[in-house]
This record gives sequence, C-alpha cells and structure tokens, in this order.
Amino acid sequence: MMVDLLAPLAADAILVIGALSLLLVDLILPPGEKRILGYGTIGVLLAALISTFALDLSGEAVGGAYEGDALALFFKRGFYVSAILASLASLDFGAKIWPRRQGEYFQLLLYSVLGMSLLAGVRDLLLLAVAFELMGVPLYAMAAFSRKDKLAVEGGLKLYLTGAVSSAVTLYGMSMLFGASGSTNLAEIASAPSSPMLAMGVALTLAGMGFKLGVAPFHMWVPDTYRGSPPPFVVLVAVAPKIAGIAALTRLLLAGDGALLDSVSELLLLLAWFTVIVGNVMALPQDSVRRLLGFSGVGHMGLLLLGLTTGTAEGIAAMLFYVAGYIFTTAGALLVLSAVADEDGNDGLARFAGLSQRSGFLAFAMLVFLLSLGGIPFVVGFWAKLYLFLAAWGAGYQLSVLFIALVGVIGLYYYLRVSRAMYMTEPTVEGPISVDLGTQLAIALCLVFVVGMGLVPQPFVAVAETAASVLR
Amino acid sequence: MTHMVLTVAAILFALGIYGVTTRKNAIGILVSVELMANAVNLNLVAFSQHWGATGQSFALFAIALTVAEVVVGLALVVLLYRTRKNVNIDLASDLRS
Amino acid sequence: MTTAATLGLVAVLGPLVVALLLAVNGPVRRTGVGAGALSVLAAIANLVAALMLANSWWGEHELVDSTEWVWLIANGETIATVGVTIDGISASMLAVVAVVALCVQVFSWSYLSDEPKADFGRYYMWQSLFLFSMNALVLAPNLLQLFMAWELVGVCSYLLIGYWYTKPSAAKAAVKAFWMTKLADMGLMIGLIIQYRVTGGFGFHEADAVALGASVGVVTFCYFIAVMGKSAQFPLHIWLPDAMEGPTPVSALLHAATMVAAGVYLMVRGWPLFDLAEDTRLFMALIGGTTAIFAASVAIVQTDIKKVLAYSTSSQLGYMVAALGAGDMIAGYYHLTTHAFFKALLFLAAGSVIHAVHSNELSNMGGLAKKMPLTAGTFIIGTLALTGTPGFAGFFSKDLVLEALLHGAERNPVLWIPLACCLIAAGLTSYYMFKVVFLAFFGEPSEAAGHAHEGGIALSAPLVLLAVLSIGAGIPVMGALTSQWGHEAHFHVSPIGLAGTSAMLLGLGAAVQLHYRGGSLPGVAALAPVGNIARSEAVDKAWRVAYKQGLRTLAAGVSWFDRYVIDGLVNLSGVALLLGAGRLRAVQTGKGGDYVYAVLLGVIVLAAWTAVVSA
Repeated sequence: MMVDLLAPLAADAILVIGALSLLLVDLILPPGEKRILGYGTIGVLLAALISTFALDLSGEAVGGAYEGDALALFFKRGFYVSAILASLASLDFGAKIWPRRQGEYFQLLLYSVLGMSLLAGVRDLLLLAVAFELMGVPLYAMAAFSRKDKLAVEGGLKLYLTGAVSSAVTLYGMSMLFGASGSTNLAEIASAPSSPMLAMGVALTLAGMGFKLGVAPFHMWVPDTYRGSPPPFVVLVAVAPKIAGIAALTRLLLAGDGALLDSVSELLLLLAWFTVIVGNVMALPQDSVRRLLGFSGVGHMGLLLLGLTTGTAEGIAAMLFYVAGYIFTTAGALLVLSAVADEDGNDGLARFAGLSQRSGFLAFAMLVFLLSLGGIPFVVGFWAKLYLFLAAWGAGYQLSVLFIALVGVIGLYYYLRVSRAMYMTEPTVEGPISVDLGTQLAIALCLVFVVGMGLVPQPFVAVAETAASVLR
Repeated sequence: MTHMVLTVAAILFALGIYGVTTRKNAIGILVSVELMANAVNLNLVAFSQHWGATGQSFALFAIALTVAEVVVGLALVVLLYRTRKNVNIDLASDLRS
Repeated sequence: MTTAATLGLVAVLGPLVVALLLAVNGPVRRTGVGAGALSVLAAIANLVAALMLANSWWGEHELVDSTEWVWLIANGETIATVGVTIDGISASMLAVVAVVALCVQVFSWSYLSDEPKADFGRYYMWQSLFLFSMNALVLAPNLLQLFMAWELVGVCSYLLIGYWYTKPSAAKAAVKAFWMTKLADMGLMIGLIIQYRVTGGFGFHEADAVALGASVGVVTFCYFIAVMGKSAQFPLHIWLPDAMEGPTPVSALLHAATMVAAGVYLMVRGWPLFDLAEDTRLFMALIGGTTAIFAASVAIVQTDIKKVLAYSTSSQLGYMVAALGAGDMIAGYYHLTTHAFFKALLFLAAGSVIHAVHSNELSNMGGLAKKMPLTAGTFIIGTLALTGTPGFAGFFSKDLVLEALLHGAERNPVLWIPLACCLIAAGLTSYYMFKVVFLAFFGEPSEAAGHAHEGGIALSAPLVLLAVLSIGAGIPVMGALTSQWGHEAHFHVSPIGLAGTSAMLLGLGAAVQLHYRGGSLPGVAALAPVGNIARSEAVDKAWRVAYKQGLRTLAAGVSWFDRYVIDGLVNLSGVALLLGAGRLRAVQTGKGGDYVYAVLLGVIVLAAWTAVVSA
C-alpha cells in the first residue's frame, strides 16, 4: 500500500535516501577524505536521473498532491542534469575552498534538488508551497557558503531578503487562492468561479514565483548573486531554480482547463516585455561577464514567459525545448566562467582577453555557448528561438514576437563583446589556464548537448511535445 | 467576522511591507517579514471558518516554512555581522553595476 | 541519390570537412601551409563539382534535382528539411562562387605569406567555413536552410573582417558589420515565421507563392529588409565601407562577389514570391536606384582605393535590386554573375597594388602601370567591364538592367526615377573608376610606388583568370541564362543602351580631363579623341567649373551625409543605447533595501493591474 502510494516518487525517494546516507557517511569520514561525498552526490543524482528512464514513475502519489506524468519527468530530468553539472564543477572547488564542509554543501544541494523535483509534478497548493520553500531555503545557505567572503555573504543576503519577501507574498497569494476556492487542489482552484480575490491570489503568487525566475522587476538579486557567490553554485542557481519556477508556474496556471492562465495572460506579457528590455539593455554596460550573463539570463526568462503565455500545446512544447537548450547553454557559459575567473572571483572582460591563446578549448566552448545564447544557427539556441517564435506567432502574439525578436538583437552586441575579447585581443594575463577534470567534463557535456541539439533537434522536440501534451 | 479578520491580516501584511522597505537593520527586516508571514497565517485560519480544517493545516505548514526560512536568515545576518561588523544592509553594497 | 545531388553534396561538405578538421586539429592548423593546402584542395574539388553541375545544366537546360532530408518535425508537421537543390540558378551561382573562391584562396596564399603560421591556418579555416556556408546557401532547397546559411556567412564575415584584430578599427568594424546585418536579418526571420504560419512551409516555388495569397506582400517586404542589410542597400549600406578593414582577398570574396550578393540571390531564389508582390518590387526598385546613385556619388570623393570599390559594390548591387524591382529577374541575376567576376578582379588587383605599395591611399600610388603591367592591365580590364564598355561582360548586363527598367517604366511611370538614377550612376561610375586608374597607374609615381614590383604566380594567375572571365562571360552566360528561362533578352542596339554608353563616355571624358597625367599606353592613346574633344579651350573651362562647383561639391555633400548623418545615426543610436543603459545602471544600487523595494513595487503593480482588470 505504502509502496504503491509512493511509487511515482521513486526518483525523489532516491534523493532522500541518498542524502541521508551521505549525511551518515559524512559523520564518520575523517576531515581529509570528504571529497568522496561529491562523487556520492553525483552518483545519487545519476541514479535518480536513470530512474526517470528505467522506472515507471507515472500515476498519482501522496493523495493526489503529486502526479507523475511526462511533463513532470521532463522537468525532473532537467533538474537532475543541471544539478549534476553544478556538482561536477563543485568537486575541486569545494575540496579547495571548504574542504571540511563539503558534505554540508552537497546535502543542501540534494535537498534543494528534492524540492524542485517535487515541484515538477505538483497538483496541490500545499505541496507547491512546501516544495517551493524546500528548494529555496538551501539555496540561501549555499549562496553564502564561503562564510568569510564579504561578497558571497552580501550576494547571499540579497538573495535571501528578496526571496523571503517574495515567499511571504507568494504565501499571501496562496492563502487568497485557498480562500477564494476552498480547496488546495490546483485543478479545483482553476475551476472555481472567478472572483477578485482569486485574480489577486494568482497575481501575488505570480509575483513570488517571478522572483525565482528572475523576472524583472524581481530580478535585482540575479547579477549580484551571480557575481558574489561561489562559481559552482552560480551554475546551479542560474539554471535549476529558474526552471523550477517555470515548472511551478506551468503547473499552477495550466491546471485544470487553464482558466488561471487566461486571467493573468496580459500580466505575463507585460512582465515578458519588461523583462526582455531590462535583461538586454542592462547587460550592455556590464564589465563583469557573470553580471552580463546574469542580465542575459533575465532576458531569456522573458522568452520563456512568452511561451508560457501562449498556453497552447505547441507554445508549451516550444517553451520546454527552450528550457532544455537554456540548461546546457547557460550552465556551459557559467562553467567556462568559473574556470576563467581568478581566485578572487574577478571575471571582467579583461580576464577573457586573448582566451583563445590561453585555452583554445575554453574559448571555443564559450564561443559556441554565446552563439547559442544569441540564436545563431547550428546550435540549439537557434532552433529554440525559431520554434518559440513560430509557436507564439501562431497563437496570435505577433506584436510580442516582433518586439522580443528586435530587442534580442541588442543582446548580440554584448555576446560579441565577449567573443571579441576572446578572439580579437591579446591576453592580459599570461600562461595557460588549468581546469579541473570535473569542470572540463561538465563543459564538454554542455558542449555536446548544445551542438547536438542544434544538429539533431528532433528527439528533444519530440520529448518536449510529449511532455506538453499532458496539459489541456 | 471573517471579513474583519481578513482586514486585520491585510493591515498586518501592509505593516510588514512598510517595515521591510523602511528598515535598514537586517534584524528589523526579518521581523517585518515575520509580520507578513503572520498575516498569511491569520488569513488561512480565517478562511477555514468557511472551508473547514484544510486552512488550519495549511497554516501549520506555513508556520513551519517561515521558521525554517527565518533561521537561515538569522544565520546570514550573523555572517553579515562577522564579515562587516555591522548589520545595516545598505552598507553591504559592494556588488552593484 | 542522383549524380547531381552527390556532386552538390561534395561541393557543400568538402569545405565543411576541412573547416572542422582544422578547427579540431590544432597542430595541422598551426602549420599554416598545410591548412592552406587542405583548404585550397577543397576549393578545387568544389570547383570541379560545380563545373560538372554547370556543364550538365548547360547541356540539358532542364536540370532540376532536389534531394532533401527531414530535419525537424513538430506537431506532426515538417518544420525543417535540409538538402541540396540543383537547378539552373543554383548550378550557375555555385560555379560563380567556386571560381571566385578558388581565385581568392590562391591569391591569399601569396598575399598573406608574411603572416604568422597560426594566423595563416586560422584564415584558411574560416575561408573553408565560409565556402561551406555559401554553398549551403546557394544550394538551399528551402528558405529556412538559406536563412541558416545566411546567418553563418554573417559569422564568417565577422571573423574574417576581424582577422587583423590587432587593429582596433578592424575589430570594431567586424562587430558593427555583424550587428547591423543581424538587425536586418530579423526581417528574414519574421518573414519566415509568417510564411510558415500561412503556408506551413518555407518553399520558394510558384505553389508556395500562390499559397501565400495576400500575405505575399508582407512576407517579401520582410525578406527585402534582410536583403537591404546583407546587400548593403541604402540606408543600411553603412557597414560595407567599414568592412574594408579585413584583408583585401576577403573583401574580394565576401564583400564584393559572393556574400553581399546573397541578398540578391535570395530574391532570385524566391522570385516566384517576389514576382507576385507588386508593391514590394516598386519599393525595391526605388531603393535600388537610390543606392546606385548615392553610393556612386560617395565613391567619387573617396581617396582609399578599397573604399572606392566598396561604394562601387554597393552601387552595383543597387542596379541588381533595381532590375529585380522592375520585374526582370534575369537582368538582375545576370548582372550579379558578371559583377562577381569583375569586382573580384578589381579587388584582387587592388590587393596586388596594396601588397606592393603597402598603402590603401591613392595618393601613395601613381605610375604603377610601368612597374606592374599585369596588375595594371587586369585592373583596367575590370574597370572597362565595370563601367560597361561595349564588348565587356558588364556592358551586356548593365544594358539588360537599363532595358528592364525602361520596360518597367513603360508600365509604371514611377520607375523612371530608378532608371534616371541608374543612368546617372553609370556616368559617375565611369568617372570614379577611370579616376582610380589614372591616379594609380599613370602619372608620376609616388615614393612608395617607386619600389613596387609584380607579385608571384599565385598573385597573378587569379587575376588573369578573372580578367578572361570579365571579358568573356558576357554573351555565353547571357545565352545560357536566357535560353534556360525562355527569356527574350538577346542583345540588340537600343536607345537606352546608347544612353548608357554615352553616360559612360561622359564619365570617361571627365576622368581623362581631370586626372589623366600623361603616360603612353596604347589603350589610353586610343581614348585620346574623347579627351581631345573635352580638352578644347571653352569646354575646358566649363568642365572645370562644372566639376569644381557642381559635381565635386555635390559628391562631397553626399559623402558628408553618408559619413555623418547615416553612419552618425547608426553610431549615435548605439551610443545612446549604451549611455541609456549606463544611466539605468544607477537603478542597480547594490543596496539590499532598494532591491526589496523593487520587488514590492512589482507586487504592487501586479496587484493594482489585477484590481483594475477584475473590478
């Protein structure tokens, strides 16, 4: 009985069991041998990832609060993959910077991923609230994990302050959703008669989730946290929670017949436009490449919102494909960055000057990621953008497509600035760059997927379509 | 009756917002966030007058969530004090464009 | 798979394989010479394949072969296919690209021989990548593949312009060129989206044009925006002169013969669509005419030999666009092919001169005809072809363009404007080109020009080949093109042709009068009568007054407009954006309290919006 109830959550169960076992191992390991915990974490994440392919995770669990469907699987895989990439980058970094506390770091990472993983198939407001916090709270701690680093603490605190206020707003919105409908089941909330309280509840919840997504004007933490926090953590925070935010929004707004989406679609578009402008324009004057990528990521969220707003199966499929591309492209770019930035975290354009001469691999990888972010053909970014625009145009959002496409061209300028620095200037710092094996592996993985999805997009599009077909 | 409680909750929430925006002391902001969270709890309990016990259990969860969050927040404030000997958040502004 | 498709694939994939090999294998790339050899080999294979295709097309006249593979299916509908389409247009264009590309690669071997080995290898890697993308563009079976290749040639252009990145101006020019053309490319993207939404595909055949129905106007207009960017049409031409910062062989290949012509090729390829779009074509004709005369005027006052040629390219592309706008696809396409040969020739010859005197400035040249007879001879042949001297390739194609405009004007009087523009531009072209010839190759040699000498075989062989084509590509190509489409365009003496020739002679007269500084080549002696008529006392004074007061002032004015208003606007908008963004940075204060404030502001806006909407 119990087993049946939890069967769709087998992947999540693997995470829980794995995290707890690692906790026990951590207690008995001598301080010098904590490194093994990182490998263990990657193993746990890999096992969870494999389970999404190998086991049948469909069906309802925890009394209908969770349902494993194709969409849930899609998001779960996204979270696990981004967590694996981030963990690979953390291996050496953690062993060097916080050798005794590696266990804690990976514990937090696993719990955060657990929260995301539950969000993927959430059907109930209560679980949504709990999973959202479970994802968010460990991230605050991880952001400030370099305890003696002024900047890391500052970045973490800013993440926390905006996050805490946002989650208070979200909970307030959720209480209104409950008050207006009398149920915590998302589908029942969606089918409740529309009322001002319901609309206000959705709007406030949206605002709170906008924070995790880094949608303007809730984005201010993004560049600061990117710049201040430990680089391997940035790889995680730039990808996983943002996608979790999208997952939560998709689950909430498209529950039932999607009535909630219709009530806020104008708001979503407003946010999308504003986000695209802020992300692309603010990125222009940045010197720190991490801040630049932070703002660029903000811009990309606007595109995802556009996909979500369409609400059509095609639009959601396009959004999901975009998400898949975003994972590898953004994680890849930030991984390169963590390899290039110096010990103090300096990552100005000067650090990238002449990178092609210092490390051809890093420069080439970064070029590919930048091309993908800019939407140039033969890498995944091109298909993602084209597919999304096609879908949004078909759903009747012509003006938004025009606007977002044009503003996106501004973005090319700062991608070009970085590639110009890498390929068209002499290095200011001499000597080749040594990259640890984990980061190299992670970068290579991202590179394979960014190029692979650009050359053979078909399987990924098919998966995205299957995932999107469960809605409506 | 429900309406009155909701109004009180709304006022509480607004007070929290006011505190969050005006306070410069990190602890003060945390307290204000607590006010906002309590408004949420009040809301949930008030709604359960209409809809039954679900709201109350939601409130219990909400309390637990807020506590977890504030604990991490306090830890961060301690770190802020350790690195800067100060808990004024506006002074921690090395990161900016 | 048919032989034709296989040959097409060889043409596309050969350079790709080389480019990938050089990208992955650093040691081979860094040998320089090895990388170059591989790249040239691929170019030769490409040429052989292209010539075989062109030959079979020439014989049969009805070669149409298309092989496609499905690339992306979404919602049960095919979004993207990839493959090669071989028909008269693509086969002939492929041959043109292949010839010019091989010439340029061979020429570069000697031109860049002083470069460091690693840079030399890098250069050839990008050359191969460019050849791949250009071939993929030319053989594209649908507009989506064409668009993807279109973007990729843009990337290659960016990389090749910035080749000499130690020059800050080169890196800047590279960014500017990419950014501007990319902005225009959004037109192509939007057009493709509309086309897909209306017809469910990206085809360019009659059936697709019919399926588009009333949307054909919007779609073609969107496409034309991208053409304006890529083919340097007014007012988006401004990136082309800056692009001259790249090595001269690159300018010859990308920014004269092939890449900038891709815009015109897009319209030729999508002709069934453009054919139905009356309004778009009128707009095209007007833009083309404006570009032709505008760029020619600016070319007059340029002192940098490459800038003269760059503006000339923009002007000649204007001719092609105008011809297409007037509704004559053959005329536009024919001018594209001949122009590719003689403009590449002019650039390479200019490169040979620059290689000898180490300067782009005309004032550092002079009297080079004696030192470098082959270069001078081929440059003059290119000039004669470009200016439309009877018998040379450019003469026939320009004549066809003018006739097309005349025919168009008989139907729609508005087309008299582009016709007049093109006629005047013909005179201006002849003036500035002969001016360059006289200043560079005749008269007293400057100090730098004194030590000039002819380059080796790698420099001269491409010049000779292209010169032969500039002379000989006239009649045969026209015959082939016209018989392919059953078009009645056999050459005949017509009033408009005479007008064009007169304009050319007028320009030549002005150039002889104002810039001929002695020398005794037989060719120039034969032109003496023209000069003599112009040289009589009274006319002489009138000429000088007319030139000094009129033409020169006007050209200087136009040039000023180009330099400071159009270019200025482009730069200004960039600067304004950066400054505005700089101001906006102030919002990101770094103070946690302000961030919370922003969050709450957002919450309040959302709440207020919801309250208003739901109330």
